[in-house]
Amino acid sequence: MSYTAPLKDMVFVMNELAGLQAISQLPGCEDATPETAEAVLEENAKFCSEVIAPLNWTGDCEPSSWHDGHVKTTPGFKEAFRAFGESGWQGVQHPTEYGGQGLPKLLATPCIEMLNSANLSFALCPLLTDGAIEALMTAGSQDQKDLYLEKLISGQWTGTMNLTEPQAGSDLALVRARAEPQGDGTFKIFGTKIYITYGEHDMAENIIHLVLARTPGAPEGVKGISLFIVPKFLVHADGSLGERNDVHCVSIEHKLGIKASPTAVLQYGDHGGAIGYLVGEENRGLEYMFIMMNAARFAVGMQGISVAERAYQKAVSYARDRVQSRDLAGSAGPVAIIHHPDVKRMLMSMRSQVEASRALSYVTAAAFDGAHHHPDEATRKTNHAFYEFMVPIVKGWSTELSIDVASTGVQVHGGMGFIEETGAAQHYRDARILTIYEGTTAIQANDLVGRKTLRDGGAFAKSVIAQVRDTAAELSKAHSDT
Amino acid sequence: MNFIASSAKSDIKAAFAGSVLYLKMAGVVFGGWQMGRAALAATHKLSAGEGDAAFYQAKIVTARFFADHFVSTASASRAAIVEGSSGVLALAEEQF
Repeated sequence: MSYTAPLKDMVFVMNELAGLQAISQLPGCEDATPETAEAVLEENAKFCSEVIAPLNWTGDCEPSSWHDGHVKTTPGFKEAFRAFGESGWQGVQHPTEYGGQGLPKLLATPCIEMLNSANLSFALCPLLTDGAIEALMTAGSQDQKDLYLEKLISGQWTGTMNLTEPQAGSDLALVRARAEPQGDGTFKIFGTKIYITYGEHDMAENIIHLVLARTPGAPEGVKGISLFIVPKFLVHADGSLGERNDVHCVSIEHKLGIKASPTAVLQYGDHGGAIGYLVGEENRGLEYMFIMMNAARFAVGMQGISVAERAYQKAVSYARDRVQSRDLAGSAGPVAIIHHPDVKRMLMSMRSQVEASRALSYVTAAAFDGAHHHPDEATRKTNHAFYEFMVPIVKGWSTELSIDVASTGVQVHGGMGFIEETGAAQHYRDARILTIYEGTTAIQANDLVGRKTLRDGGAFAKSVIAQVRDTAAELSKAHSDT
Repeated sequence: MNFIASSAKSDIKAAFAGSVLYLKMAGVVFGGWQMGRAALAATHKLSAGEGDAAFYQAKIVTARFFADHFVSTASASRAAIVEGSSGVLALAEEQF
């Protein structure tokens, strides 16, 4: 049940398809040379396979557990998370001013892929913390950034995103959590949030919750939602921890997969109100969340690629070892099943989908870097449009295929695939959430059709298709030249 | 895409009925595009005699497989998205 990072393919995609060399020449990206990239990836690969991957099966067998408001994570997770933070892996793509490595997204993306391949449940904590970091970077005041960012980036604290309520999932207009102004600039937060990933755990000394809630008199629907910081422990100006805040985990869910990730129901304000600090302006909460959501959607797309790669490696390993039936083309005795055409077809199906989705996602990550660092404004704009266009595709398509790939992985294992102990089933169960959270496939499709295709009458979509046609023409030419 | 753009004005539900199929098709087409670029890059490396030949050969084979087994299905989705949109919506709630 081990994991070997597919470094050759990652490096090939970064260099040949995503243009790493060009990215490393952009202002602010000078550290990201192909040589540095390979070194970072090798280091990350080692960490993920040695420290994080061995805990994947443990996480499934001994998931996190709730008792009396406290959550104990899988044995080993706490130590692994400390090592993760201390090695600087939380901060790969975050600004150096706050202790991050400041590396481009193109470099952070393979690191995220490896972490998720190693252990999807574990990787969710850093993923949500990244979301909290993004929200604060986007809309936080300087004081808020100074107070919270460094410890989030170092892994001393973790972050959560609190949007969903029992009556409000895909439809955030129906959010009911309330924020009451206290007159001193702070608010008291009341309400119930559900499906909060790592909403409570024992891996860090504080949890910084980012919470959507309505202020009194706010307009109905999505235009009346504000964003608040609600720390588990209040933080003094000097950064030290203060009182326990009125946010409590009343239960965690018993799930089909990603079992080690504690999925919390959080009660805000049962004991007088949880102290919350407004982020940015009132009523712009959802707008800020959407900026963070693009990053989160991309990350979930990467999760799809990660679990698909993991399932593929496992299936290949099994197919090489398992001996059944004579070779169709003739053999003395039974052969390893990898020799049978249909097994090869299944493996090729898994492999090609992983490689294609990896390629598309890394190219999309490079567009993000171009959008942020390219000196020419028009180039930044095109890159930004490309990134925005591809995000729902990376999320929707990579996650949908990951379920098929993981399912095929079980199939390759035959009867043993259905037995939990084999391990293929865990990947199939873990993958199942990916098409649901962070916006269901239908939500991604609505975004692709409504905002990304229709908004400009299909002009941008057509411009990408034109590039596809160019590549197709080059391929025909190359083929006819041989 | 033209279907979606034109339906959106007259029949919004028809435009969105095939949205997930459209997204999946887009994924396959754009993933196939990147694999096409990958095949071109790998071919170039092979003729230049650079690097790991076995890796590049496998990349070309994998790209071809993806084209034959997945990109080939993309045009089939078209019928489902365009002609098939009314079928998605035709049954009333009670008929399910």
